[in-house]
Amino acid sequence: MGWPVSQRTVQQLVDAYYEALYRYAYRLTGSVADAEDLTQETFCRAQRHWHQLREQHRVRAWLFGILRNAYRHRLRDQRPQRHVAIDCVGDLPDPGSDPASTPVVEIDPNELQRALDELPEEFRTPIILYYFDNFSYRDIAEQMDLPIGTVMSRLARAKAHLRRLLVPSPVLSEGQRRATDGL
Amino acid sequence: MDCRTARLFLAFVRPGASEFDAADAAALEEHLADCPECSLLAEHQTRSDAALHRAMNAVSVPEGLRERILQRLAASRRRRLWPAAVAAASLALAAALGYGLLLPSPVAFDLEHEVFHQSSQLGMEPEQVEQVLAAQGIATTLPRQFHYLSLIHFGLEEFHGQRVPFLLFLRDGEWARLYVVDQRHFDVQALMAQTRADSGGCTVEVIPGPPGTAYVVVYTGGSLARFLRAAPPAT
Repeated sequence: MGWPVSQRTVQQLVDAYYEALYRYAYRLTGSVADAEDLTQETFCRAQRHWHQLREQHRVRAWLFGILRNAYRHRLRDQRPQRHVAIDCVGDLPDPGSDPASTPVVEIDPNELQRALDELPEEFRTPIILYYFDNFSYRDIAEQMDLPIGTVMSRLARAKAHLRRLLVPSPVLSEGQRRATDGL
Repeated sequence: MDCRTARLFLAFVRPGASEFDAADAAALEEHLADCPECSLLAEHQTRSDAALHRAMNAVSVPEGLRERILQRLAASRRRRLWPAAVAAASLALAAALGYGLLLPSPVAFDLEHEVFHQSSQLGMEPEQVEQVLAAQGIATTLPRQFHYLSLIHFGLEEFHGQRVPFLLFLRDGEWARLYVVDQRHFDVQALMAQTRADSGGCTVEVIPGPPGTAYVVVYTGGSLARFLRAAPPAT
């Protein structure tokens, strides 16, 4: 049984983090209703278990961790979803068009969501955190309770997946292709 | 560094981050300066990362979400306070009607409720403390200049033969007991004329309250400043 946290502290917490948490929840779920519900649930759990926050300066990571746990609980209750086989995704971009003639354009946020939805949760979470501000590899590793090397490997694969679907890749010379074969 | 190693590093590099060994980062920079193809790839990667970052954060937040979160938090708080309030009210009623009549056997109580009841007093704002006291039939105005994050207990306490509203603050190992006295039971004017007394171990100070009221504060540590809002952060 938890508490005690003052209403003012809770309100400050909401003001500081509700937008970031909602965006994270939306990218995890792809649903406005689910994202809103998860965000609300996160703050309720934080209020209830405030005493478990040992280091006040880590409150942001703590809140993101609560949200992810709540999301994973929900996933367990749902039917299995179809995801791409991440083992089929390479770590490197496919050779494609010339970057000089195909500059990186803005990415449609809805297309990004579709690409994220294809990823299994263990790859989707780090890539979302990675592209949010200030989440270092170490932050993500602590968040997911994984070795940092595992996080880096998953991130490389998830990035390759997103780039393959959303970003035109530069063409490589024969020499460069040979240099990257087998990575 | 050769192209193969540079490409491997580029898969993990993160602009502005200091997660790579300085020597590796310098070697990569050196390679990129000499290799146009890897440099082009690195630049492309940086631009695509920036585009992904923007798209990732391009999520509109629903209107009114903040208010809905606060409402749900308030409802959650009320739901959890209710059992503790019922338990406390039941105990108070039993005490009022006579311990011997209603409770012939030794009292057993729920530790979870008790710890919650006690801990729910922590971190309250003065307005909330006033509301709780008002719900117990005690109308009082509490001082606003105190640092209520240091409040660890409140209620009614015996003070010179009268039961008066009482607050207990604890900070940096020092404590302050605050009693609210009013002119119905105390000579407030005479109290105000004294303002302060110091025994060396503890100090008593009188602070003016609303008309006809004063706050008598007994504290240790030689200074009241640590218990006031302007106090520096706890060490």
